[in-house]
Amino acid sequence: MLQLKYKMKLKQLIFIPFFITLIGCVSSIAIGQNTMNSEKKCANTSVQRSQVMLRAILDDLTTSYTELGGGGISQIKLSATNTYVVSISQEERIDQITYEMSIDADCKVAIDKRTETSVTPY
Amino acid sequence: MKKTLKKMAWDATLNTDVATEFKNAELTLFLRMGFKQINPAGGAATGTYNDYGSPAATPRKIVKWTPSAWASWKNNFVSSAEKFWKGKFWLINNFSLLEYTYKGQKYIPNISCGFKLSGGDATNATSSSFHHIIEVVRLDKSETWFGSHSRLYDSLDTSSVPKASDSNGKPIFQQAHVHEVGHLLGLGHVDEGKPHCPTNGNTNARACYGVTDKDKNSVMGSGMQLRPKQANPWRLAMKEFTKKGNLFVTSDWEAKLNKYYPRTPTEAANKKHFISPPKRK
Repeated sequence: MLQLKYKMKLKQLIFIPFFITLIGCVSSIAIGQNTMNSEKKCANTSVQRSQVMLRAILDDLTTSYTELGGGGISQIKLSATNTYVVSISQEERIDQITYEMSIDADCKVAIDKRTETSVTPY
Repeated sequence: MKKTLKKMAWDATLNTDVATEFKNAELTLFLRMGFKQINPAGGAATGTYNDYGSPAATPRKIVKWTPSAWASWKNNFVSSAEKFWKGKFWLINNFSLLEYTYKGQKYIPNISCGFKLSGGDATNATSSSFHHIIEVVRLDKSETWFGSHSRLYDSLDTSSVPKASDSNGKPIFQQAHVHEVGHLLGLGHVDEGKPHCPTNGNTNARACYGVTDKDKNSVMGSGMQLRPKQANPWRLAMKEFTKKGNLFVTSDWEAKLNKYYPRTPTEAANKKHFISPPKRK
């Protein structure tokens, strides 16, 4: 029994590093493919396009919306292609910031127009 | 002389009998508010209620009012809001009206602006007893905010919370209920009428709460500071009592944030003003 265990350990010692190396190679190929094809994936994945646009909106709000109070973002709605309306609840009103954006094949986002209005929800 | 004026939004009393050589006539606005509980549906202890009372808005957790919590909230609301607005404005009597004689000397009083707020229970009352009826939700402890407005308050509205920030990033604090009482008195937002907040547009837009630091800090912006313009309900009352004055002419019943003492007719004619007690024989 002891001999058998020892033999298995020997096999493990030889094969485990081999497998790790192999997996590592496969992983790097996969990551490399991802990197190389990022333009294509961005252009073809609507969710990824939405994600980068939403990130750009949230980053912009950090500097452009300085109200400290209120109930925070209550809604972000795609009102037209590449146009989002962010609703932020405040007492007596809901601030609505409309972002018209463009996005290139590299997933680079530009805010083309930002307009702010308020609605009275009662 | 004691006169009373009754309006939809408030009542007013002008009392010149109290005037002496150092004491002005008193103009007191009376605001009778009726508070109406909003409790969870079906008599439950807990439930939800949507921001602004709007079905489309975010639901917040609420709890049932208890008699002690209700009484405590109302008392705190009334006493703190009354204290905020009471005795903060003086109006200059530029018409030399309301002349009186005190110890053989004739005087022209200025106007000392008082405020009396009462808060009754409107849960089962008719609207005729009150100038304004306000619904109030009691928020669950886990909730930090509720979308309230001029006719729907929440249990946190008497707390001081950061509303905006100034140009240096410094927070501007406000107790929402004193702002709301300003609305009930007839005041609009601080920047109403300016190009970025036209009166024919949405006067609840963010810009209407002030663009400059000074305006943002106003009680009818996002802060707690009073401005002479916010004496307009008292100026309106004086205009109606005396049939003199125009609210758009700032020198008519001109509002001041500190006391201006009564004057003799000669002093008034010479446009003399006293912000400390003048020497009298």
